[in-house]
Order: sequence, then structure tokens, then C-alpha cells
Amino acid sequence: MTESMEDAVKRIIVERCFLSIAPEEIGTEDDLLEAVGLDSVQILEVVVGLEEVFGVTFEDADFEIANFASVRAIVDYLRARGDR
Amino acid sequence: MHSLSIVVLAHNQLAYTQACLNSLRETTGVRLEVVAVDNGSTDGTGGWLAGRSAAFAERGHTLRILRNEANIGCSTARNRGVDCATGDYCAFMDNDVVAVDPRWAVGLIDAIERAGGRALAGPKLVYPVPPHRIQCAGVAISRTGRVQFRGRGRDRAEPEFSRPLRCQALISACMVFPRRLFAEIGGLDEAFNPIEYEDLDLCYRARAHGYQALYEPAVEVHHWESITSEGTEKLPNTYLIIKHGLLFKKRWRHMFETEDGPPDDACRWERLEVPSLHGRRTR
Repeated sequence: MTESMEDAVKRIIVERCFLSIAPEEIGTEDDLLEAVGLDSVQILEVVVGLEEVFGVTFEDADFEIANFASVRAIVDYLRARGDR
Repeated sequence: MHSLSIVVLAHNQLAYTQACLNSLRETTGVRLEVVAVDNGSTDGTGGWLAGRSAAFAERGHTLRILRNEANIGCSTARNRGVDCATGDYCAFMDNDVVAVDPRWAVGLIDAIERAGGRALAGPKLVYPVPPHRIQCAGVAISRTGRVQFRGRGRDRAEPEFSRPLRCQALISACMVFPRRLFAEIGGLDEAFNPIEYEDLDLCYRARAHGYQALYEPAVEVHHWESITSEGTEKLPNTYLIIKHGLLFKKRWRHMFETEDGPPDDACRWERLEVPSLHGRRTR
């Protein structure tokens, strides 16, 4: 079964941030800073992971925290990029 | 005797700036010039600095003040400070650092001279309240570009952090370097304004030009940590860490991959209760 984009993003978050939870424990709508408890440096590592896994390159204008506020925000953002 | 110009960047946080400059006034063993860059403070920092020149002159030191009407960013402000510096050596010092040992500058300059002169040197930075745990004992960077403040939160007497080390980078809270370094490499990269990663990038650019980054644990300096940037209103830290962190990682990936840095999972930022003049905070 092909991994969904949501699941892939959750896996990236857990792996890159060394979280001791299962990826599915992260809610798609959870606030990554407030609910999951990520800090700015961990968000940076998630961005690095997204670039590597999805083959995208983020530009300066993309780094608004709103784009990385939740798994949903990230997925929406990646899909929107794919439509460019 | 060597001459040293210390560039101290201040944006508000006057109480910390006072403690910092009062400690620098006690520095011995060098001909001292302090270049205080008031980066658009609105809390009386400018007026206080203006009244301190005589106190420095009493000790044979020089205090110069550069006033920027607005906060123009750390890289640009520090570059301007170095532009008007006259010492053989320069130092960057954050305004939340206190130089508790008057011989601190001699200790760092000696480390550079022992290495042949092409080096930057930084001290063991410790928190200012007992038991003075380590704030940063040099910087290590993993093969993927993750940053580790060596020793942060650990006992300052641990042997691992009591040995001089050629490290991967230093932080600008306190670092000393020959002034000619800036002529060679062009100063701090202003692409990193207003803050974040500019000091680490400087170290890598210096190292690419044959300089070493030296951790000198014989010199201990107190550092409250992050007060300089906390004086800035609404600094979008997450945005800057992502933007500048990616720039730093991509620029120096080829070097990280050849270095013996720590594993990625040893580079997690541990949240610690750290002191301040106004009580404890979590960082």
C-alpha cells in the first residue's frame, strides 16, 4: 500500500525530530509547535526532510510558520506547490 | 602588548549591557578599545553609554559608541563595528556576557598566537549563577548540519570540556580573532540579518580560508544566553531559523560531510531552566 502524503509527513516529523511516539499519534490538525511540542530547530529539520523526501526546494518566501503549523498545513502547502 | 577592539552589540536590555561593559572595563593585559554598537535601543542604553567614556579612559581604555537609529541586524551592525576598530585583534561580545576574569582577552589571544595566528578563539561560556553550568563549550556540527552547543547544561569541570579543542565553530557571544580576518573574508554575511547562523557561517568561511576555530577552556566567561536577541521586539525566530538554517546547511554541507561531527541525535536542543536577572526562564 502506498504511503499517503499525510503519513509520510508524520513519519518525517517523528524520524527527523527523534520523537518517542508513533507517527500515527500525531493528529493531522495538531499544532506542531504547541501540541506536538516541536521547537524552531526541529521545524528546520522537518523542512530538510520534506525537501529530501518530496524533492522540493523551499524558497525564502515559503518559510512562514503558517506553512508548517500542522501536518495538514504542510500537506496543503506541498499540494499547492505541486499545482504551480 | 596586543591591542584588542571588542564590538559589543546592544539592543535594549540596559541592565545586562551595564554589567557587560563594567566587566570589560576591568580587562587587563591588552590595549583595549570597546566599540559599543547601540542598535536602535529605546530604553536609555544610548544615554548610559554616552556617559561611560570617562570611566574607560580612567583605565587607559577607549570606548567608542556607534548609534544606529533602527535595529539594522547583527551582521551589519557588527561589520560596522569592525570597520571602525583599530586593534590588531577584534572580539565580538554579546551584551549578556560578563567577563569575570580580567585576563580573559590575553588567554584567548595567546591561544590564537600558539596556533600561529590564523585562528579564532572562544572561551568556556558558563551560566552566571552557581553552579555555573556550561552554556557553550564550542560548537559541534553533525554530518547533516545539525548544531550542538558542546556541553550545554553540563558540569563546567567535566574533563571532556576542560581540554582545548580545534572545534567546528564558535558562537559570537564571545569570540576573538585577528582583525585582518575581516579584510580576508569580507566580514559577516549580511544575508543572515537580522540574526541566526551568522556566527557559525563566519567560522566556516574563516576555516575555508585556513583559519582554525579554537575552544579555550582555560578562559571562562559568564553568559546569560539569548538576552541580546530577546531585547528585540517580535523577532520572527522560527522563520529566521528555518531560512538561515537552510542557507547555512546548504552552503557548508560539503564540509560537514568530511568532518568528524557528532551524530544527529546528539544535537537535540535540550530545554533547560536557565537564569536571568529577573528569575529563571526556559530555553
